[in-house]
Amino acid sequence: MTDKDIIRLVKDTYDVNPGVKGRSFIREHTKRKIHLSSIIMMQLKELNPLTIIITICISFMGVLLTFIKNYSSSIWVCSSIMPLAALIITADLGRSKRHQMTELEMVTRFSLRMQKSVRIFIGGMLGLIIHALIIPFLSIKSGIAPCISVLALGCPYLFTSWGCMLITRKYHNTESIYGCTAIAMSAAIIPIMVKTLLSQFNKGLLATIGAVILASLFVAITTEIRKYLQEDRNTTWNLN
Amino acid sequence: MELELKNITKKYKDKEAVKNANVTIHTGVTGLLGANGAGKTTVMRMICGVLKPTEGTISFDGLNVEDEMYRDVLGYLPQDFGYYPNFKARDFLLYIAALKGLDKESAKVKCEELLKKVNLSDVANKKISTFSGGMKQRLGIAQALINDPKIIILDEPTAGLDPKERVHFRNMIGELGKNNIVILSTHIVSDVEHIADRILMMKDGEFIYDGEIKDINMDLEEFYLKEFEEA
Repeated sequence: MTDKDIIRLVKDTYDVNPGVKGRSFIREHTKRKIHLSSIIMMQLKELNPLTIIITICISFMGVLLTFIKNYSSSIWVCSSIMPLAALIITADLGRSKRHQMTELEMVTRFSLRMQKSVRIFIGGMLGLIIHALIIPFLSIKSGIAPCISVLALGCPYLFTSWGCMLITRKYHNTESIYGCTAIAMSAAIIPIMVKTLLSQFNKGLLATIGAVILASLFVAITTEIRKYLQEDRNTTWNLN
Repeated sequence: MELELKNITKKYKDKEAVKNANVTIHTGVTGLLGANGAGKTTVMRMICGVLKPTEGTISFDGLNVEDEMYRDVLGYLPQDFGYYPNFKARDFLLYIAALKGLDKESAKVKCEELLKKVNLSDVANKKISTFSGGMKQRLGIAQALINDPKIIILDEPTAGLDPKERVHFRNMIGELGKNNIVILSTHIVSDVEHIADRILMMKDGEFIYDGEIKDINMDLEEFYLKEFEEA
């Protein structure tokens, strides 16, 4: 084999397709126009009705609790029910994998990553709505400072969301839901413990610790969301 | 139309599922034959952009598989696929149509047309969970065709179909292969024998045979076994 042959062979093997035919194909093919709003609507439509019902119930229950006069524990009860909302919302994020729809959804116009991002956005919005409904009522009716409400409601909510996302990413089987439930139940107990600690420790110190935990949970959940969005390529599929 | 796989290798940790595959596929029906674990599904998944090759490139008329425009012309029936529990057959097709970017009107028309084509019109409003294996498979075939794809990838499409459905399906694929690139993987030789124009045989991640079916002058089953023994 001459040098010329080797150069040609290497060129044939490693050269990127010039894309001349690709350009002609693109000219012939009319790209269907779709807006981001349509995928948000589509994913909203596919949202489990139970998720919406439970979200509404939790919001309603939280608001109702603040109306009970002289009930100082309302913030802790609200805090204890937040993990349930987080559990329901996060469980819905893994529905593609749970129902073996991943491959079908990956070969559509919207990449699975895009669809997952929209689901996270919807889940985030639902969480935000719950918080935005309960916190002002806690402030007005029970006189609790909004920053304390954010800590008390946000920590168990974010902890459960992070834990559930971690478990569903690591374990793809339906049994992972048991792990998620265990996390939510643990998170629901934490507010009761904090309430007990309040009488023994300095409130300022506990608030500072709470703020540090909340910040750490924000970092943890951001990292988890990034990992969740990245997992749709190169999965090992049936060779696991 | 031309689908080109250039130096494709796929490694899973220490296992090489596909080894330096080079093949160009043109319009027509191409049958991918191979035993279980030969690498057929991995090749199919890489063609669909579901799996990323460890090395090499895949392009359709120069268009990279990762391009969203490529997904616009792709129809894929995975080996195992599921559905959301609340889905009825029609909902399922409309959902896939929406994800593939079809507008509501054309999605409805296409959905009805395909339900009729796969003989599921009567059960269009029934929950998929009540369907038999064959019915689910037919629905899977319908979803793969909803966007009038130019490249149709069917992974074990005849699994679960009864003999009558199989014949109906073969005719349908033959028709589609006239203007599109159809790649179907199977380990059932007779499926390929009746519909494929070209055969690709895989063994241990390598293409061991690539040729036109008309050039094979013996029983395909015997030829298949012979090639496998020799490889």
